[in-house]
Amino acid sequence: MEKSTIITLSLLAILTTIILLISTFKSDKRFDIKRKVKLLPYWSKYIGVLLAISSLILRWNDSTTDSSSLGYFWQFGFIIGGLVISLSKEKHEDEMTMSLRLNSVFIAFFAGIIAHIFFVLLNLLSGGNIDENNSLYSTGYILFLYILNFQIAKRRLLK
Amino acid sequence: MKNTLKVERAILNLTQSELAKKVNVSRQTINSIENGKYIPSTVLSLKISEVFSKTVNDIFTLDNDD
Repeated sequence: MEKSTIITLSLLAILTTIILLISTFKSDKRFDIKRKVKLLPYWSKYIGVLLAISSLILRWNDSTTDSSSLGYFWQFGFIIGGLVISLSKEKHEDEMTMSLRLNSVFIAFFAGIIAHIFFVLLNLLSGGNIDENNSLYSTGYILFLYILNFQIAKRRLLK
Repeated sequence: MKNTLKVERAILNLTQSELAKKVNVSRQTINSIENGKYIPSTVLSLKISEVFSKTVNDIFTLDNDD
């Protein structure tokens, strides 16, 4: 195993421990999704849309900036825009929107992992190699974090 | 799950928006419940039944598929 892989895995392990410790100390035995999930205000969705669309337009117009710092900036702009949209509240936030959000996260999460594994395997079969730090390990980490969080929440409810 | 929300609303002459405001949800949520697309939580079911001064069982009944 490469040195950089060991460092990445160690950092991920430390990060996981910190997240779990914070969630354990912060929450009592009662599990309330309304108190657990804090979202951005509704208007921040417009900022996210603006950021994502402007990033797309700029990338479309200038394909030569791929490896430059500006190219990377707009790639991040698109992802951050998407993240802001995802984490923003709806205009009328109620139990149905929460239920829909939960279902969407569930589907997107597992569909994303399946698609990711498929493309990594496709790349491997066509002669490419697995980039340990950026592909399977990060997906595995997300999966691991989800399983741990879900199990902790379930155990807390059953206590 | 079947429900008589539309009928109960008509009896009290309430619009979807008015009922939504009373139980603190969006009009879309009430519409989805009426069309059987969304099954409300126990808390929301109790709030709805309170508006119509009936029990939850009077408004929501189990279907054969449930």
